[in-house]
Formats: sequence, structure tokens, C-alpha cells
Amino acid sequence: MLFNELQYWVFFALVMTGYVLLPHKAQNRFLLVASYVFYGFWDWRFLGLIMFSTVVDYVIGQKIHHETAETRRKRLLWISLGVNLGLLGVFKYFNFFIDTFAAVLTQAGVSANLPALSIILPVGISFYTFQTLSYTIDIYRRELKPTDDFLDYALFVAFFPQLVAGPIERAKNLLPNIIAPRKLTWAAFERGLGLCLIGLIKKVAIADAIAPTVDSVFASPDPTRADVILACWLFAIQIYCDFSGYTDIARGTAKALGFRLMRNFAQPYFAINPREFWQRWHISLSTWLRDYLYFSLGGSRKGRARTHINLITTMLLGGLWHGAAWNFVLWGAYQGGILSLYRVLPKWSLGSWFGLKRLIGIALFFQITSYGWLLFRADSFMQIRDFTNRLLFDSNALTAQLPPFPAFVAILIVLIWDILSERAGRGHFYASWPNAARAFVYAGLIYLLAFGGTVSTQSFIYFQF
Amino acid sequence: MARFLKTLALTILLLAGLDLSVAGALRVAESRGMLTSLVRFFDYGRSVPGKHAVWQNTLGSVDNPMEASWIDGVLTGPLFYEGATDDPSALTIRSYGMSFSANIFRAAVKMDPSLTWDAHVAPAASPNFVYYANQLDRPNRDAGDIVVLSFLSSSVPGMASLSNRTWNPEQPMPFTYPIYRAVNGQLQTTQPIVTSLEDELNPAFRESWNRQLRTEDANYLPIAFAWPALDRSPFFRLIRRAFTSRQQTKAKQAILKPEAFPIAETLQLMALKFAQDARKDGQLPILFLIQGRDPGDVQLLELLKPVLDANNIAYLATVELVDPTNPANFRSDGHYQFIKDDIFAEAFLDLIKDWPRRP
Repeated sequence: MLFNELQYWVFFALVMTGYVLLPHKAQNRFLLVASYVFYGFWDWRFLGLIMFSTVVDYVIGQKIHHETAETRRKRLLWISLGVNLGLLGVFKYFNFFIDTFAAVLTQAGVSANLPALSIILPVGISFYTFQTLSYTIDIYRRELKPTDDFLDYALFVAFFPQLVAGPIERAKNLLPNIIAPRKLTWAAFERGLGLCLIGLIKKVAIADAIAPTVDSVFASPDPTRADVILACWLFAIQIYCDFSGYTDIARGTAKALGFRLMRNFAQPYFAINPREFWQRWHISLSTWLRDYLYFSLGGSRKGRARTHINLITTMLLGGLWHGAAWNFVLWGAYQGGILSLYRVLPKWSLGSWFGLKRLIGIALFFQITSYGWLLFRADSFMQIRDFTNRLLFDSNALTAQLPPFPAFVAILIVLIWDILSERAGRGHFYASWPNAARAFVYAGLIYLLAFGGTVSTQSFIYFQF
Repeated sequence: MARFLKTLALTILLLAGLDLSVAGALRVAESRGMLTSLVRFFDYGRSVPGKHAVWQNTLGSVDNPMEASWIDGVLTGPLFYEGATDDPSALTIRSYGMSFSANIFRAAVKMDPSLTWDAHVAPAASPNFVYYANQLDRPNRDAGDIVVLSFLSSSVPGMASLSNRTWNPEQPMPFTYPIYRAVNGQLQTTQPIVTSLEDELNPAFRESWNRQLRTEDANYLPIAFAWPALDRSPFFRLIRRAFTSRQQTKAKQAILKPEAFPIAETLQLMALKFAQDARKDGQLPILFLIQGRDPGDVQLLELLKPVLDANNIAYLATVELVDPTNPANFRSDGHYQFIKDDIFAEAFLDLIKDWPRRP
């Protein structure tokens, strides 16, 4: 059940109708059932897995909280880490490591016939695993008191708007929103629908519309330099609109239900350096990695060299989180590398010149980010090498077919939307506008969605992670 | 709540106003011949009956899609095409295909003007149309002819259809053809009730024909046919197009699954029977396997090579000569670059070089 399919909106309408009629506790139970139904639509066999993960972390959370002996608390935390990362390891990384090990053995001249598992990756496993991990770690760090209501906790893990691709919510943020009665307002409902609308435009009118161009260049055996540049730029736009579009719909749906999910994107391509980029891109993951991995490794407290090592290690693992493939690791290393490099480079002021300096900074850093997306999107190391060579030495003739015209109109509208959000410092910059102005925006967006929505549906890129 | 309802009402009102403005602008643009691609973009979303109604208003005009490619016209149309010799004693190529194959023959007769080219072409012709035309035209061919049947990968989903109107609703040309289905080594045929423009326009056929499309055409999508009155609104045209294209993609993917339609067996049987018939008539059968640029298309050579090799049937598979995954090999309209057509034409001339010319 994809957010960009009619089925989801029928499901949401049914859930919303039932939801508003119920008292608070019943709303929570109803949402839990709805969330499991939603997840079951993907693959009902994995419902057991998410329930198992929920039970384990609920029980361990309770035990850690009530345990006073540090060694026993630590042991319980390790059990939680072992179970969650173990599930992730088996379902997501087992074959990857087996294949890599077999390749290493073959390189060393040893013929290896290692077992491979025929496993389907359960959708959303990376997201809800990190979410449940943060729960037990926060309790271990005494930053969070566990909930006594198992079903509320189960809803925290399975809440359908953000179940399959985030944002990776912290219990500190979402649990209180579940436990306390929620106030449903028409204003929040309208804001939620507005978010859904802009999210659908990003996904349907932009990401899905430009995907065929990107795919054709990455499938082409002989793209030109212009093709590779176009594909990198377009993939940068595609992945942003695909993922932030999904997040907008998730946040919009949740908002209509009276929940407040964290912001996951803050106009990332307006960044002028890697640090700023990671403060704006997939914020729920970058802050998770910072709080639970980078800080746990020592952060920047253990000297300059260790800081760089910690940074690169964190980003390497962040890359691997995205998928069981070496190009994701390479992308993580690239991101860690530029973050590390940025730390040692002198900092220039990009103020004044009437904002032109910052604009140039944005344009230049977008090229660095876009090259990173080449590493992320490529099918193999060979392709990365080949495309890099073409970027440096090939001809400029463009042979790839450009995306359809409505996609460019939608990109322009989303760019204006992002500029206004950036200036206002919040996504719903239009909330205080008069009724007529807001209605004009909605009517325009609905028309744009219809105008750009004539392409085939594609699954969300981040669902595979 | 009042504020929300007010915004909602205003949004609907503004949406209607916007739609009226777009409709007016499109009407002006159309009457002045401006912004043709934008006008066409909005027109793609008209319902199939809506598009047919527009075309019916201009019957008799050049290239009217309503009149194009009905089987009688295809069989009795102009015999010898531009660039080819009209010498009746010249070596004759009888071709059954679509624009892709026509481009190749156009290049071939340019390279060898001594050839005669008798073309039977329909837009985006599906293999069932091509096979049908070849069957019906058999009595018109002579011994010594070269007979070429062309299969286009992107048109393969049309094998489960009786007309382009169902599997290609953006350009729903109404001409019809049978569905062939391999059953126990035989081609089972479902004939369309309507076989000519006269039938199409005859109200007596309408109900049974619509019923046949609904029940026997696997690509039939109700949304492409329903509520033609909504065509007045450009907004609803866009909505219709969005839903139709999504459902159509799913329908095509479903048809390509072996349990839904025996694509491979049917194509193989068509190729085999075509070759047997042509050989029986003293003709040289050649199969063109034209792979389009969509990576989701069936791989024609993979499906057919075993049968072609086992029965020694001559073929030209574009995939063996030009990489269809390279977008640079295609023009913006999806056809191969002309320079690639020259490569195919050379390969075709090479295939026929040993076939005896008429004395």
C-alpha cells in the first residue's frame, strides 16, 4: 500500500473516520490494529517479526529501568542490541557478508561454496529497529522512563504513517504524544492535508517523472559526460523528492491524526557544506547516528585523530544502514571523508555580496553532493569508475531523453516552496495567510498534482532500506 | 471548523475557476494552432469514446486516426512505397509491420533501388495484427517473394487485445484484429465483432461490441471509457490520464506473466506457421524482432530464438545489432536513429542477398 496509490487514501479515510469517533485509549488500540493491517498489506509474514521486536524491547526496557546493578543493566542492553542488530544482520546483511567473504576467499585462491539464505528484506526493518533501539538505549542512559502500557509501546513501534520509511522517531518525542490525549483541530487537519499535497507533488510529479531518465542513463552502456551530469543532478532531485515527499505525507497523515512527527528534511540542497547538509538531510537518521553511535564512540572528546576516525566510522555505518552493498559503504566513506575534510579546512564567510556568495556556495556544494549520489545510485564499482571517467574526459553531447515538461514546472514550484520555507524557518509558512490565499495555494497544488501525475507509479526508494 | 470549511469551499471554487481558465486557454490555443504539444498533452486524457467523437467530426481529413489501418485498407492500400521501384518484375518484399519496420525498409530500398516494397503497416501494430494481415494477404503474394513479419517488443501486450483502443488508450486508434492464443499447439482465434469503420459507426453493433471488449480484451480499462462528459474539464482529463496510465502499466505487466497469457507459445506458433506457409508458397520468410527502448518489454529474441534456430527461420533481431539499453540509439519519439535503421537495412539486404531474383 503505497502513499501515492488510491488504496492508501481509502485506507486513511476509513482510519480517520473510525478514529475521530473513539475516545483516547480506544483510538490508540484502533491505530495499532490499523498499523498492523497496513504492515500486513506489505507482507503479513513479517508481522511476527515486528511483534517479536516489540515484545523484546518492551520487556528489556522495563527490566533495565527497574534494575539498579550497572553490570546487569549493561547486560540487558547488550541483549537488546544483540536481538535487534541480529535480526537486522540476518534479514538484511547475511547474504551480503557471505557473498563478500566468498569473494575474498576466491581472490585468495580458495574455492568456497558458502550457504546463502533465500530471504526477503522485511519492509521498514531498518527504521523500526533503530526506533526500538533508541528506546532501550535512552532507558539505559536514564533519559527516558519506560511506558507501562504495552499496547501504547506497540503503537510507538508500528505507527503506520512512519513505519516503513521513517522518520525514525525517538520515544521521548512520540510516546508522550501517544500516551496523552490528543487534540484534534481543523487547523492541524488542514496543515496535515497541505503537507500530504506537497508530498504527493514531490513524489508523483517530480520523483516518478524523472526516474525513467535517470534509470535510462544508469542502464546505458555508453552515456556521454552531459548524460552523466544530467543523471547525477536529476537523481539528486529524485531521491530528495522521493524521500522528503514520503516524509511529508507521513507527517501530514500523522498531523491530521493529532500527532507531531519530527521534521526529517530542512531544504538540504540549500546547504553550503557537509556539516550543514547533514543537519538538513534525513535528520532523524543523522541525529540518531550522532546520539547513539558517534557520541558512543567518543565523538570529538578524544582528540583530533580520533574525532576523524569516529566521524568516518559513523558515516561508513550510516552508509551500510542504507543497504547491503559496497557502494553504500563507499557513499558513507565519501560523506565521512568530506565531513572530516571540512573540519580541517579554513572556514570562509559566505555572507554579503547580496547573498551571491551563499548562492555560489550552494551551487558548488550541490555538485559535491550530486557526485556522492552517483556512488549511491551506481550498480557497481565498475560503473562508478566508468561514469567518473566520463565526467572527466567524455563529450558534452546530451543523448538522454529529458523528463516531461510538467516535471520541470513541479520542480520550479517545489524550489519556490523550499525558498519560502527556508525564509520562514518552518514548513507551514502559509499557515497565517488569509483563507483566500491558502485556498489559492491548495487549488494550484491540486492542479499541479493532476498535471504532473500522469506518469507510472514507482515504489519509494527508501522502502528498500 | 468554519475556517476550514471556508478554505475548502474557496479551494473548490478556485479549482473550478482555474479549470475554466485552462479550458478557455486551450480552446484559444487550439483554434490558433498554438501550443500544440500542450493541447495534445491535455487531449491524451480524453476518454476513448471522447477521442473517437473528436475524430469522427473530421472524417475524410488526411491521416484521420478513425479511418486508419482497418484491415481492408491495409491490404488494398498503395502497393509500392516511395523509393522503391515500380517494376513488377523486380524482387518484391511483402512486409507486415509498423513504423519501426517501415523505417528499415525505407533505408533498404534506398540502398538497393532494384527492390519492390509492398508495405502493410499499422501504428504500433501488435503481433496479432501483423500475423492477421499476413494471413489475409497470403493470396495476393507470389512465389519468389520475400515475406517479412515484424514483431515489436512494446506492442506485445496488445496480443491480448482486439483493438489499439484498449491497450493504447492515449492514442486509441479503433482498427481491430483478432486475439490469437496458443492452445495445445494450435492458434485459437477470437475474432472481433467489428472489422471495419462502417461496423464501428453502426449503432447496431455498439452494445455487443462494447460487451466483447469488456469481457474478452484483457487490456480493457473501464476508466478509459467511462463518463465521456468529464472530457469537458481539462482537470478531469488529467485525472483520467493519471489513473489510466497507472492501471494500464499494471494491466500490461499482468498480461506479460505466463499464467495470464501464453505470450511465448503464441509468438512461437505464429512464427512457425508464418514460415511454414511462406515456404509452402515458395517464398522466403523472414522475421524482424524489433526491441524497443523500454527495459520492461519482453525480450523477443530470447523468446523466439529456440524456435527460429530449430526451424532454420531467417531473422533480423535488432538487439543483436544495436543496444536497446543505450538511449543514444533512439530518437526522441522512441524510434531508432536513422543511422541505426541503416545498420538494420544492411543486415536485411545481407539476409536476402542469395535469394534468387526474378529472371
